[in-house]
Amino acid sequence: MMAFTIAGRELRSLFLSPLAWAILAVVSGICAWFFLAYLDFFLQMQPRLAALPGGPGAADMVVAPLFSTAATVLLLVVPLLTMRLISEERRAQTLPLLLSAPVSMSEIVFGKFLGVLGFVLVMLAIIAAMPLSLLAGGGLDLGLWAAGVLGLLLLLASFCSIGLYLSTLTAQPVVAAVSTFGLLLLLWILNLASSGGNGGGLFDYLSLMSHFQPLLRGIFSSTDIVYYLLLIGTFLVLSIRRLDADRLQH
Amino acid sequence: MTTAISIQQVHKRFAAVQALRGISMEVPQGAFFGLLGPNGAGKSTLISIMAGLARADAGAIRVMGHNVVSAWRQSRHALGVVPQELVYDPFFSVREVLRLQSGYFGLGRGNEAWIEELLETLSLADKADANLQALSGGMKRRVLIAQALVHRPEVVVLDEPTAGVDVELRQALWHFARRLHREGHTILLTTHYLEEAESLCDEIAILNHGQLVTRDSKQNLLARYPWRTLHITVDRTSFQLPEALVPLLTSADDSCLTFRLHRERDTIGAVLAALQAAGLTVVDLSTEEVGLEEVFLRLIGQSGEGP
Repeated sequence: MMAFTIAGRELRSLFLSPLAWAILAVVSGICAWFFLAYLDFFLQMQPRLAALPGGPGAADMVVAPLFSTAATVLLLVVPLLTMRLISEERRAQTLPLLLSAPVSMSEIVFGKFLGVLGFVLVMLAIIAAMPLSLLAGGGLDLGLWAAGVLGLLLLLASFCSIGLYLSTLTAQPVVAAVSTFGLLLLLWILNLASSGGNGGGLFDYLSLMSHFQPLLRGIFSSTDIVYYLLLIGTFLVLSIRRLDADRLQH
Repeated sequence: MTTAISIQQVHKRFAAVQALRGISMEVPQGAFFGLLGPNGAGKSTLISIMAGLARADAGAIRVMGHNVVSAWRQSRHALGVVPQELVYDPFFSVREVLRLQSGYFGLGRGNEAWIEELLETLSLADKADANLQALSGGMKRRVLIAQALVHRPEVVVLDEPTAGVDVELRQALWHFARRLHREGHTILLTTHYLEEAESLCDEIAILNHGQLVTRDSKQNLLARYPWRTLHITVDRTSFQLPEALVPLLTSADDSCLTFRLHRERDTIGAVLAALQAAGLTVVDLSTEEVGLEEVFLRLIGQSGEGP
């Protein structure tokens, strides 16, 4: 399938770019620092927590806060990865080389999405591996960990699809990055409006955070999964439509 | 002869500008076809529609019998476009770019031999592992040609391939284009250099204002302008020109005379004989054949606007 060829090319070009390596190093460094800070806090609190019946364990005190922090860090970082997906090709005028190949718009968009998601998965693997190191010295609620990883994966895939769509709208990667960050932040904090009363339910449903927090607590709800799949699918379809519209305009 | 490119009543509008107004023509298989026209004539729009980068408002284009909209995969397999701009992906080497482009056409390891042959043919072998950023403009142009040929297309579109290139590379590109043509490829060339079209193409179409002004063989086009220019220098500055030559004279500067001769009615021998009969000795003589440029300017002028 051509989408995998495009994904491979995208992934390779990301690994050939110094920006991606810098991002990988910075994200790993920040998350490792937070992981150690949460672990240190947990170890300090452990004697008191042990006295509580059904008190929180390492997964609650380390894994969930780490993944939550990682989500915030990646909200800042993913736009830098997605900004160049289409807009850079527009700017460098290399998009026609791809569009004139016997590859469908769906394959182009899906390939680009898979390529950047592959890079993001590397970051996710590094972040997810940190709490697993706790298994060497004790127990870890792997169910909670797995739910958190799934939540982070769906969240990052949503970031990528939104970033990809906004990258199709402009020939300026910086504009794509800033607009992606703006939209992601808006979707992230949308649930804050739900405390205001009218329309709160809708904002709460639309918020990325509202669907991420339950998974961090180990609550697996099909509503949350469907929300993310719909969000990813919607922005991928919008990207296809946007590129298709180019053919009509140009 | 079968048709390589069939263009039927193609219309395209961009906002207030009607870029193509019902263009219809056919490019025979194996032709070296020149698509000429001033800026804004619609050449690039037509190529974009052919390559699937734009969609026609009406009409149809077929490449090797495949409709570019309904059978777009097949038509793009049959077409290779060398773009006018020097566009490149800065992350990859020459060989990687060709492998990726080959991958877009679903060609895997089996195409490696052809990629190596392309690298050799286009003198890119010693730069195969160099990053595209490090290459000169001429080398980048060769890479673009290799990219367009990586899937062995039957029809090759060269969109102003020699724009801004030096004489040596231009000669090399002409040589390569002729070779492609000899090997059976149908070549569609757009260029602003009319001597290039005259030298390479056997059939020519001229567009202006989105309309087809003419489409004919090069010989027929040149024959439409049946004049040639004769420059003669005589041994005197003051003389009486024979009466028979007066209608043919276009300019006279001291001893230098310029005549416009009809290819069939007027002969050089008759002019020389008339001058000799008048007692004039010819010191120097040169002729100037009509070129495609004169035909182009005349046709474009007739259709409304100069280049």
